[in-house]
Amino acid sequence: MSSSSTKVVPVVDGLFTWPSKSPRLLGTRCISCGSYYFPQKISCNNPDCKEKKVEQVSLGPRGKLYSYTIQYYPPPPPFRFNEPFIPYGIGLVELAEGIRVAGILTTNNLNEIKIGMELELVVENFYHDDEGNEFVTYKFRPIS
Amino acid sequence: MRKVCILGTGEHPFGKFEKKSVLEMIMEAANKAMNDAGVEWKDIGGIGAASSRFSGGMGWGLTANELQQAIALNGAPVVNCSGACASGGYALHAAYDMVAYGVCDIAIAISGEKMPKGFIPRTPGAAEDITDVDYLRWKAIGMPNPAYWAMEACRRMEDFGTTEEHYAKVAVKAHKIGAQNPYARYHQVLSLEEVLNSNMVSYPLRLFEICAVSDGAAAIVLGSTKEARKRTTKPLFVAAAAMTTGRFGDPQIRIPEISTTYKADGRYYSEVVLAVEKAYEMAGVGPKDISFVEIQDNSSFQELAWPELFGLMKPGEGDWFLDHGETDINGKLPINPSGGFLSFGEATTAMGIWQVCELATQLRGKAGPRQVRNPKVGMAVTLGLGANGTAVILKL
Repeated sequence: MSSSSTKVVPVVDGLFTWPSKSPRLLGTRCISCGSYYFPQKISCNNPDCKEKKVEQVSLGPRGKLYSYTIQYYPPPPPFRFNEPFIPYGIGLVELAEGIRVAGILTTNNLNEIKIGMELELVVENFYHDDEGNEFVTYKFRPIS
Repeated sequence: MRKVCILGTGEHPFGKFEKKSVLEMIMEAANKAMNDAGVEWKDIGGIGAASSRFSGGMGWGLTANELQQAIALNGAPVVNCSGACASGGYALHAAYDMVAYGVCDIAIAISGEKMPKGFIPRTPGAAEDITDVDYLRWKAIGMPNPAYWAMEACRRMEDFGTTEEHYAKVAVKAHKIGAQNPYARYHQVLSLEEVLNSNMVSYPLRLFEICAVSDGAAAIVLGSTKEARKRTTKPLFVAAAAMTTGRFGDPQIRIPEISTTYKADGRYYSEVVLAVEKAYEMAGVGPKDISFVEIQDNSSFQELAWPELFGLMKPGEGDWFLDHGETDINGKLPINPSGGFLSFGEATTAMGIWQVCELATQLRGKAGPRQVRNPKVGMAVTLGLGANGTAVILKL
């Protein structure tokens, strides 16, 4: 869809690595207590953690589906979508780091979605703006 | 600390009231509660009020001050409480404290809200970057509130074998009861088929299994035991008014977060579970003593899952209770004998007081066709954005 006059841009800066052939999510790890956070946080919020020294880390790219839903109506702005609206899957995905992250699934077919299935992170088209610029977001794709 | 009693309750019907201000609705509920209690404004020594983001309070959440300025500049101390959907529970807590600690002998808790039509909009002026998860959940994913409940509901199906039909049955029960409550917004009895045929919103939850937003108001007059005994031989005690917040490690996908830093020992729905545990402790009761509950059924999911988390039934047993009518009016553990959020719709900040009005109505044996059999102890639980939780226990 993108041409020389239009751009491909991440839907929000600082949420995932971009550009990247093997995308990762950008999160935070507490060096002191080992807890992971997504998106990036200014502090750890574990009440038992005293030092709360945090660093930026990349998360993923693989995870297991903990739960999911299929969203059947378009949410209000600032959500945007390409017409016509197509129901989309949302997964809660358990990453190896021990954190569950919500994100769009690349499939909305209930027969293809199973709790416990393996998924990998991808960055794909989300919507186009009025000028034809392509906005991309992170999604989870089943590993077949 | 002194014991605190319910002196009177007042509910404004729920629905959409285009021509009425929220102040008028609150005044109506307050007047009803005061008439029920047999008190006048000159008797009121303190006010606990729920602050709304959407209506009233002069734009600052000054709900109590606005009411005073309209009806009685009585010089009493007021506490305006902001706790999102748990605000009503906080307001009740504030009024409870005033009586318990002897600030006054009679206090009133008030709440009222007119909700915007359609979707709840984002707060104007909020950040639009990675520092605001409420921005990210819309902008980067498209995750409205029902999607959160749906993901919990979907996991429950995996863990316990709960079915789409179970979620529909909760709505059938709610509407059957709500049809008999004059204050409810929806008075239509729905069949299982009608619920299952309603539009899928966020799989596995359908339109009739998710609460709408409404306008509504409620008020409660609280007083010392001495004040209660002037009015009745059977005082109704506020045995517990607990407020807590969420705890680290909770595995729930909490609105508006886009991730969960869960821990193996994290408490699921910690903000409400901890409030309930605190309330049991304050009241000196256990789950077995609870006659009935009013819980925040934003969707059918909560009504099945929460009673288990509160120890009222074993994990996964909620479906069996529902299938066997044991959560209905005449069951072992009636849940939401008011008709619940599903038949009222949510006037978010009013719900914590509205729920306790229902507890009182039931415990005083005044619930008419939806009267629970011989109740002794009732519990109400709310959850608010920001990981706020409240639990109230009333005891005869």
